[in-house]
Amino acid sequence: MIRQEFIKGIMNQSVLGTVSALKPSGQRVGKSLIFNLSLTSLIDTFSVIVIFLLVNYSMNTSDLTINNNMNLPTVNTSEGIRMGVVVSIKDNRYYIDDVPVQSRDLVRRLLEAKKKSTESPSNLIVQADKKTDYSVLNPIIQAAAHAGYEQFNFAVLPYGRKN
Amino acid sequence: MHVGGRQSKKDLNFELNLIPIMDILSVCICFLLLTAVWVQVGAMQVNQALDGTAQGQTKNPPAIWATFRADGGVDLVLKNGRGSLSSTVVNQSGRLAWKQLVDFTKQARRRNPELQTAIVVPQRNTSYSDLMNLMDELKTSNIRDIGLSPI
Repeated sequence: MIRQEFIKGIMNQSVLGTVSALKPSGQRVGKSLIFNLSLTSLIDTFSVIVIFLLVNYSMNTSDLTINNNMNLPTVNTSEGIRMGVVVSIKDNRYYIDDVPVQSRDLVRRLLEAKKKSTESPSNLIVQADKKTDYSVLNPIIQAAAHAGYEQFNFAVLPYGRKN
Repeated sequence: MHVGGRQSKKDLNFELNLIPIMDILSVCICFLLLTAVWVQVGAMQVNQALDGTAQGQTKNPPAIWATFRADGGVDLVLKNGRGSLSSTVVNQSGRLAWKQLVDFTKQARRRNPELQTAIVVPQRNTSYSDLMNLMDELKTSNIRDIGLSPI
């Protein structure tokens, strides 16, 4: 009974009132057992993190997925990637927009992809591992030239260190 | 928050419940962290390399021809420019001496200030990494237009 009254007395106290330095209100029955946690700084931190992530989210313009096993070459000077037809090379096999393609069908498939592409149709993006030999890349370059692609963009990672 | 009790004066303190705000911010942070892209992929832009023959009466601009060799080195030749210039970037135990390329580019530009073009001619066994590094060094030396020649 006494314990319930004691607890009720503490609960009846205003949290803000007890921490007020100017005019503290409420009855003080010994030391208060309630720990008043100030959430203002936590909300400030959360707000800054959300704003940062929102800005980062809106600045992301590329929609390129990279295979986990693929190590792109790293360079110092790179430009922003513009979307177009994506050709990737995995295990010496060719993929156009993630669809496997035989090397003899490259020209035809590149022409079809160029017609379907709505964003920068004459822009070709090549993704390959940095250890790939040029003999594997050469069919793509030749097929793209035949298909009328004007520009090649080789996907790279920026801010590389020279080996 | 006042629960019951007698009040002689009206309490002027207004306390805002911050728990829903915390919940919303936590959900937003979790969602944005899962969808954030931390590695931005860049691009090395390259044009198609024509065969170098003049088209009609137009004169070809001065260009650096960088031809990869079988041993991994690179032969550099200045074509269609004032004076002849050539050099070689040596492959030293798997690493190319890029300083030679930088020196060659500076010399070539001194004779031809309008130099902006380079043509890269790789071999079958040329590594993609070496090819990108060469293009990167050319771009760093302010060679804007780089063409890639098919084998």
